Amino acid sequence: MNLENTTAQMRKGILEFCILSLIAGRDLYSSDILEALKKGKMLVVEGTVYPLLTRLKNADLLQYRWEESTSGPPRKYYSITSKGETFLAELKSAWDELNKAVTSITKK
Amino acid sequence: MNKTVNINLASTFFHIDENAYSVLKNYLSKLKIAFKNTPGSEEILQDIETRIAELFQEAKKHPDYVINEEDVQKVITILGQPEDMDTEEAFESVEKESTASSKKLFRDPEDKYIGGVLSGLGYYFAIDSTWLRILWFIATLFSGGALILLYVLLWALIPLAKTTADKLKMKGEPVNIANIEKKIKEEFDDVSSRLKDIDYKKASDSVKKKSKKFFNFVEELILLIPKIIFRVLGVIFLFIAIIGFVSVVLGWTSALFFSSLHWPFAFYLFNLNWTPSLFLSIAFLFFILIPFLFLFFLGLRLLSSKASKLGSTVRNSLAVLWLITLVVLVGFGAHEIRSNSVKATKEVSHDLVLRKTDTLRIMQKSEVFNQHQEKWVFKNTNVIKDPNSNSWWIDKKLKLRIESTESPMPTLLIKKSAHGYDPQEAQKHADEIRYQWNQEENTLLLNTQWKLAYSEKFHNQDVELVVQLPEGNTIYIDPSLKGYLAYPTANDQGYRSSKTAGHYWIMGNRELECLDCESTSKSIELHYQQEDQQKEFHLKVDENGVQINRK
Repeated sequence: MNLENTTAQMRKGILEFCILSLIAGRDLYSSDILEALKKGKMLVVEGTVYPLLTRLKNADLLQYRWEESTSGPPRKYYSITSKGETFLAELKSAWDELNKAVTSITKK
Repeated sequence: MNKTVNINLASTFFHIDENAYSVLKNYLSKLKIAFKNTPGSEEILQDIETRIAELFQEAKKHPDYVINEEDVQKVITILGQPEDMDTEEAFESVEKESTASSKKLFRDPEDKYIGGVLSGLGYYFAIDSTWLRILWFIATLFSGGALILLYVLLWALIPLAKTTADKLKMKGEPVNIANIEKKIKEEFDDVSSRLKDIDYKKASDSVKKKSKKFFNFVEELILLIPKIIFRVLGVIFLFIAIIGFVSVVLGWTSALFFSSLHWPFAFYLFNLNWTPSLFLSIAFLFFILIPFLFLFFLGLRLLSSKASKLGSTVRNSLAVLWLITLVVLVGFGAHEIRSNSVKATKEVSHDLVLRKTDTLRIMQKSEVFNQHQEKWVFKNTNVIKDPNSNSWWIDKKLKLRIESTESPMPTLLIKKSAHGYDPQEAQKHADEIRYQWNQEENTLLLNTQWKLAYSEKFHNQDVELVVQLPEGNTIYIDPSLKGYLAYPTANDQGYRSSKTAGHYWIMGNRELECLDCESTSKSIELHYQQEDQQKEFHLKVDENGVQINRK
């Protein structure tokens, strides 16, 4: 078993949850999301996030708008949709349950 | 010195040196391949390009800054290699596609003797190409070279696996970066290990190593034996199954459409009409084919455990279908047996008008059938369709014998027999047999065929003829009847009944006596007396000669 591989798998599973939670707080543009995730050590490479964002957007959980930037190319600002909010709420309760279960199992 | 390239990333303008440019270009095209099957791939790539532009913007220390290779590498480290990204979903979908449907038939350029056709087929059917080659070779010998033509055709039709992606498709592996890399690595390893092998062989020439190698070889060989037996059995099974399958299908279709041996036509005679007979013959076809089909897949499985397996639904429905055909055939057989369980005979006797001194000549008379009449053979019986009289001609080996009788007149006894469900029905079928004969002066013309109306089906009908001869009457059996004298006929020469044809005989006391046979060890006496006793005729032939007394 490869430790790196296992932790990467763990992170991957909850990455969508984290991204949705971040965007639910306030509208963000992709670099903000990347920074927050990196700070939380949720991310090894940035490339992982882009397919996820596209997938969430295609599932109508996210939407975005373009905004001009002074220092570079125009930025995509992401915001959560109402469908995304319900989904996030479901994810959260699922996560809480999972968290509880894992804690109780690993304690023994 | 380095050339500089101008690029436009997400509507932002950058100077970049040539090396950095090629690394970046390579990276982007790798990403493009990785996201090829991900929904929204263009958008993802666009987002990544935008991010690269942002990162370059940060690296740009002054407006004329030229992005170098180091900058590009940094960006790649931040964004990550495609395999580290979340492209798993893409991989999965490709994999599913590949195993389910996108295995393609290619010729294998790596493992080939002639054109790589069989090697490619081997990958396609997941059978070791060696066994396929052996099978093909045997089949080529049996086919009289026809398979050589097929090989050339396949060679021309199947494309060669040129690229790595083709080779992966040929082997049914998903085409993704990991596999392409693996494959290229394998090819490289193959070459390098061959190089290594040469060195190793040079170094390991000692006896010890050789003997060790030998025992390893023996061990492997012993372990191989059951495998080999299975494979050989597999090849034999496949061979039998293919030959059996093809010949049954060919035989059935040609019987149905081309030959005089019509299956449904045959069944037509078995109390069945056209549609049920066709149905029955199809049941018969499946009854034979399904076991061959199972044998085929068993052979495949023996050759390779990876070979395509019959799905359980297909397998079960085939088994059920086979059982149904079995029931149908057994039911039909039982019906046939039951409907022909009782035998009845009808005897018709005709007096033959003949003077006592005349010799009765019996001869064969046959119908002449033309080649175009529908004809069918069943158990030594020719059945010929006669549309003119709406009937079948039954050309069967008619049974004829000659007997002595107490009655003063010679008679022809016609015994018609048939089987039926009950005695009345059997009797009815026997009555329906139409036998034709006629007498021209003292010649009796016996038809060797008889007729059945179309409505009459097969009921084991048979006709037997008995010529009854009073004592003292002479008979000449024409050689044309030779083949029809089936029963032993008592005669003084001890001849087999068929040998009595072509001779003149006189009916003696219960047995025929020959008048013109070579053997003269016996004497022949003929005595004729008119009723008024005025005329008397006596003939005696023995080894002393001929003696004639007349009054």
